[in-house]
Amino acid sequence: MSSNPLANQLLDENKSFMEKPSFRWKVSVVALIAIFCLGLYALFLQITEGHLITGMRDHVVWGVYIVNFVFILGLSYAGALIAGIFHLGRVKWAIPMQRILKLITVFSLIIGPFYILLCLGRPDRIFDLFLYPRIQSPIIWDVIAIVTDLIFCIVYMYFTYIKDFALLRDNSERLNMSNWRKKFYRIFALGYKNTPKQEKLLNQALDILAAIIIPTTIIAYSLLAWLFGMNLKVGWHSSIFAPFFVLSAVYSGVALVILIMWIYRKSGKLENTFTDSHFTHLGFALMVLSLFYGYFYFSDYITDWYNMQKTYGSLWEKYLDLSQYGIAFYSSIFLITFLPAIVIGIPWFRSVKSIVFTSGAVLVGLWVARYLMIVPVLETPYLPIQDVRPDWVNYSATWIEWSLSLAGIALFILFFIFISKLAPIIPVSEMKEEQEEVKLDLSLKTDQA
Amino acid sequence: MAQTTNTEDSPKEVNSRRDFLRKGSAFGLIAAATGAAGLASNQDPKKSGEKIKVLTTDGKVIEVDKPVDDCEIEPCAPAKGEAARQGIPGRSFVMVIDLAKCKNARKCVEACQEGHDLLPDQEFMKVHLMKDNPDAEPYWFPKNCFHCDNPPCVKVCPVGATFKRTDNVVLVDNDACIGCKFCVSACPYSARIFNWEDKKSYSDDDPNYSPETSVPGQHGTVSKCDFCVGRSREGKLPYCATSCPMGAIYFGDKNEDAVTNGEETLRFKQLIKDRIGYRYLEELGTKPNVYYLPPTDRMFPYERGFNYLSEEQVEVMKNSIKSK
Amino acid sequence: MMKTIFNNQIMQLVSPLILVGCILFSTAAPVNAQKKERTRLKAYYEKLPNNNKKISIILTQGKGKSISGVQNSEVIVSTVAADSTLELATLITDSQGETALYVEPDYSFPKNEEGYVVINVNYNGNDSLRASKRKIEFLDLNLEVSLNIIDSVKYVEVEAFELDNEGNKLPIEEIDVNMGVKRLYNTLFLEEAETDEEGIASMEFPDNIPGDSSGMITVVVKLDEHDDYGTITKTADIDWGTAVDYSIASNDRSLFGDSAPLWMIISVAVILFGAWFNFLLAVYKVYQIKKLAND
Repeated sequence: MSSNPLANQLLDENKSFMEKPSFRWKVSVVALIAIFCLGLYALFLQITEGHLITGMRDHVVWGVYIVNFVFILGLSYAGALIAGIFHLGRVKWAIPMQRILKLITVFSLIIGPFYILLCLGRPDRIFDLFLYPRIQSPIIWDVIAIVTDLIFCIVYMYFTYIKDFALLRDNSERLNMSNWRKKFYRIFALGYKNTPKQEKLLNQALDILAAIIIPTTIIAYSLLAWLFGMNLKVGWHSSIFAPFFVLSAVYSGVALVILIMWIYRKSGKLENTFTDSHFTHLGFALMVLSLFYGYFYFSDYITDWYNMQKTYGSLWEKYLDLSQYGIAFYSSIFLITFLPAIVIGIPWFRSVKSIVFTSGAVLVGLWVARYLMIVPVLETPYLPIQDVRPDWVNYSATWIEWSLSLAGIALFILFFIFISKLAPIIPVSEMKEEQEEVKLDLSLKTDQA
Repeated sequence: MAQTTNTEDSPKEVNSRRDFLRKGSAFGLIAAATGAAGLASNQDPKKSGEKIKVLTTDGKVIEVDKPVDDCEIEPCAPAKGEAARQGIPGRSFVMVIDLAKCKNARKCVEACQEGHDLLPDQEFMKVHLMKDNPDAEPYWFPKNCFHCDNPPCVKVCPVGATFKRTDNVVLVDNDACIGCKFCVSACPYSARIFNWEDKKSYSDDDPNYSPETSVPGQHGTVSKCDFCVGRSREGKLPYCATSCPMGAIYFGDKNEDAVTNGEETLRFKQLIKDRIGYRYLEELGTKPNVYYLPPTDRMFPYERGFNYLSEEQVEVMKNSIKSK
Repeated sequence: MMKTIFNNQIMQLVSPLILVGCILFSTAAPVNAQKKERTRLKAYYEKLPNNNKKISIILTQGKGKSISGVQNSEVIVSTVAADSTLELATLITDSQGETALYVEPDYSFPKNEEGYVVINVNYNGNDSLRASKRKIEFLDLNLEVSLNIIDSVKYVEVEAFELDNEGNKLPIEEIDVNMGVKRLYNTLFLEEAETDEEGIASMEFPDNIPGDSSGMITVVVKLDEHDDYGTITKTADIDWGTAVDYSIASNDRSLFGDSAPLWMIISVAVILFGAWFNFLLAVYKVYQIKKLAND
């Protein structure tokens, strides 16, 4: 059974993750848990003292939280979308990173919605969203989309684990596992024995899921964009928002995959799995996406800028003013739209390290771009804000919001750390097929099941 | 109800239940029409068992219960729960603000805050200093919730905590609001405020709570101008309208084609026609129910309004209208 | 120059005196505080639509902006009958300093030789407030309202008259009456007219006044604060208004209503059904894997 040499070799390579935790591992887990606990403390304060201890006020009613919400859900949808496309396209070289994509999807889909809950003044009434929903509200669209997407993606991710769980179940003696683990793998492998019939069924299930997850994520992220687009607000009320959001989601997703691939490659000596060509492939994707992003960015802004409607004028002033959002605005444009083209486009700069660095920079730039898309717009209503309290006029996040943001990142990393203890970070049992001729079986065959 | 009028040619009254609800008790109608309520209506309506003294035909003084003349619309108490979502039948509340009269005395803001138990910084009614173009003279612009007929805030509410009623009023049910603040950002007029602070008087389970009075505005929920519909049931104008020393704020029922500032009562359509009444940001398509009369031939120079503001506030106002 | 020096010298001499004066004055201050504050009475006569008469009284203290009502105080209302005072009632002011005496229509006030009713209102004061009084005089005027349609034009006709001792009508001319309709908060006045020598004023009633759903309105005729006759209000209900259709369709499907537009519900349902159907199909396939393993 499964005496596939490549799979065994890969399992061995993954042993470093799967085996007893190292000291460094323990330290980083403790540090991350500490950051997470600080966030919990901040959450406790926010709930007991009210939203006044955050930077949110009557004009900027949502601050960093909604930026995180949009950003993290973007990563999630990107992961699902890219994974689905690679799967259906039978992209052979992309198989090693499939699992990372799915994990990004699920983890960020779990963490992201918490940030919108942090915006709720009455989290105790959260269930009213399910008890008395109004289908006209974009928030309800989001609730439906996120819940659907979360269920789909968790199940999809689990289905891609079945083969690996079966492999681990069959190799449990060799990897000297504890009993609960053996039991876990035995249950969740669902008695998968790699028979042709089972394999066919599993492939069909995965094809169906990949095929529905692609439109689901596109719709879900468009709905998220409409959370803003449906407001009668200058700077948000734009028809380009939905495709723009989808594109920037894919963009941020690719950047994050590069980053995570690199971290695993460094910490687990997976140079043979995550090869240089993976980085260059994704690097080029990053560059192309950056150009598309620039195109969308430009289209969005030029149409408003050209006519310079009154309120938009004051918004634009804030973007360009170096003492306000100027620095953030220019640098985010540079990081998102120019840096990838320079670093990846020019061969002299191109290397794994520079690609990884660019990915990190792109992620930062995209987060800042989201911030600029949200906060200055909220600070620029039609009627002038004539308030003497500076914090009511201009938003600045407090430590509560920052520590809760960091807690989200910490939780995201913790999820990755723990999941890679449970099963290999690469779909090992899929890898063997890379050696064989990949069967391009695009017809879904759902009817013949 | 003794009446000396000749009502021979009036047809048999065919008052539907709707009309009855609309008018309130017949006694209330007559008593208020006579002006008997003129003095009485200033009194606290909650005071029950009030007596009045009557000199009878034979010269004796007797005490009788004061007629319930402070009720214009039945039921008199502010509606609660599901009833509060319906609106007062046959009413179509509308406000007209005469910008020519406003001198930023801020009495409307203060009366509103007191009436709605708001914190000093919370304003349902705000007075902005506006300047329409670089050459135009600035003017004061009182702004409350416009109670739009196409309300962007109600559209986005995920749980139906804010709603549009048949009497034009848009209200927030603080018992249902989850505090997502989407309505705050959706309102193009910045009319909504969030209850950021846990004030003592904010209580969750106030049995007397009615969305028509907005009191108490619970911690973590959204509040806004309620057009004082609770007061309208007693035949009283909103706090802002009664408190304005200039009589700049008119309020009324569009179905009756009348608006009043307490002193004078005008025909709504004629007023809007004659003075070219407009609605702020009409082009947004929100169909507001607050109309403005243009600030032409103003009674005071706008600078006089600075007298009512702190130096800091004046500075902020001046900066915000600086032409760029 | 001389003058200023002189003034300065004077000042130097006088200022100690002023100082002493001030000290004396300040010690005398408590005595001054006990000096009673002045009060003010106001009284208005009004005739209500049901022919009840009403005498409204306001008792205030203070001046200018600090004026305020004196609450919970006794006010005595009396009338003058043949040189003797007839006490009518003792009233208690409310929190605003207001109170009122209602008088039934058939109560006949004694009149003086000119035919006026004389009402005296007295407040006797207390430890801190001075007494005050007010006298009002009025004549008893009757207004009779008739609503007529002549050549399809609606007229509100008002007849103003006094009654002599035999009960005969004495028409009163030059009485300004206001005609309007009752609205929610107060009266919307439409026209004003003066009575002629027959005591009659006729006013046209406009065609475009909204009434209720059957066009019912309440016509209000008012004589406002006349020197001799006080305030008189008359009302009459009639279907002269335009009928307004109040049946607003509140249950329309709309973005802001309680129920969503149909297309929205249908599209959400279709999308969700499509997605979940496929999802369950995939889950079913995996379920079959498990079944195959058990076989």
